[in-house]
Amino acid sequence: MPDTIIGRWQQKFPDGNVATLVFRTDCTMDIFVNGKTFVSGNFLMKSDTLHLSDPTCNAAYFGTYTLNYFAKDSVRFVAARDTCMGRHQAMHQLRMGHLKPAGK
Amino acid sequence: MKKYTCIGFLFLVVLIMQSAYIDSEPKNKAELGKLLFFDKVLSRDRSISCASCHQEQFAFSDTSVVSTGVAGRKGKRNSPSAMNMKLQSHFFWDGRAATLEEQAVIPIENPDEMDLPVDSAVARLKSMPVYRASFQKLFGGEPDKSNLAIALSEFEKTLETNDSPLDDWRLNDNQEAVSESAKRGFKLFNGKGNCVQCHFGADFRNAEFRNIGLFDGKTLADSGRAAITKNPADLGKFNIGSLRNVSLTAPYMHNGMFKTLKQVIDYYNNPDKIVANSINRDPLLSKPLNLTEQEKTDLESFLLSLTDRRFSQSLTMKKSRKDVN
Repeated sequence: MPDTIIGRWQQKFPDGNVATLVFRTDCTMDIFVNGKTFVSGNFLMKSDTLHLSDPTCNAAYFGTYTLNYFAKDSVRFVAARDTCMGRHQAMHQLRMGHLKPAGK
Repeated sequence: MKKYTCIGFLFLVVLIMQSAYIDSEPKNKAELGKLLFFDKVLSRDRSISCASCHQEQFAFSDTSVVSTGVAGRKGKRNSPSAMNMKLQSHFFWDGRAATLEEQAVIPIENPDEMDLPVDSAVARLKSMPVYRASFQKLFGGEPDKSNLAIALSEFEKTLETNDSPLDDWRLNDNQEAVSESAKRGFKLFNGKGNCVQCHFGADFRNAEFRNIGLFDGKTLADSGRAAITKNPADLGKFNIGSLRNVSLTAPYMHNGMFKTLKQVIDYYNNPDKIVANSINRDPLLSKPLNLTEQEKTDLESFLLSLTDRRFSQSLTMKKSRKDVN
């Protein structure tokens, strides 16, 4: 089971779209949809809680999500507090699988 | 003997032509859509195709302020890129079509564009063995308005690009993929420039309509979205265009009034300087951005980094021409 959010995560949706999340050690993160840069932002990890900010919502505001790791390589994001509706809608209950390093 | 030789030769030519035809037979709906997209048969006088106004080398857009339709008629608005529309929720500058399928057949009927009633277009396709056979094979029936729209939209859905230097930088952490100027431009785009408030998501657009100040009711009198919704609050609002491959899609805006990205950036920097008495302009553009010349250059570098690698040669040629001039 992964013990850190650092790395690459991916989810394939039933409509064929693929979301990829990249969390870096320098606390920057990017979201990609179908390999296209979707949004770039920052995050902070405190225990199992992720604080997330991006410029489309307001770069100064951090939404808060609880991370539930499950299976051997997956994580579920559960919104604890995020007033940014668009992000809340996209992230709450989102499940992602961990991608092994290397490769697009 | 000579007669038989000629017949033999003709037979050979027919055989070669047939095999060439079989090779080019569309294998799926998108390939059929591609054939249709490039076929002038869908215009009244068979003089233009979809590709006449959505030219591949310009990211499937047009370099004219407004495109030229049949009989030299001019369109009313600038032709947007037909690329990266898979995730889009409204089509045309005024958002009059809600689906790609709905969008696909409207230019065929538009008197200023291809000027051919869809029923006539369908009748033409039915009379052509190539199309008749392809529609039968791929849709299990004759061409009709619905499967014509599906075929065209399936082709358009293949026109997605996700291999720009920006994507390479962000997704693969390739620091060399973009210049330092483009990196600064990305920061400005997301910050001081406010661009990200409207241009966000995978294609740097948004599902909303915005009035950027290009409506004054006099010289700039296209009411945009309001003509569809009849809502005065929508006066001068237009669909937010994708910024992917934007370096290739000049001229810019619904009326093609800006020839270069620099002009676009200058406009956003201080809209009042270009259009003094705009009506209903978005509050996001209420104050000048006060960008420095370096910041403007950085923003432009960032926009150039959204050009997909499939077009990198066109971009290099464009840059060389600019350097020469």
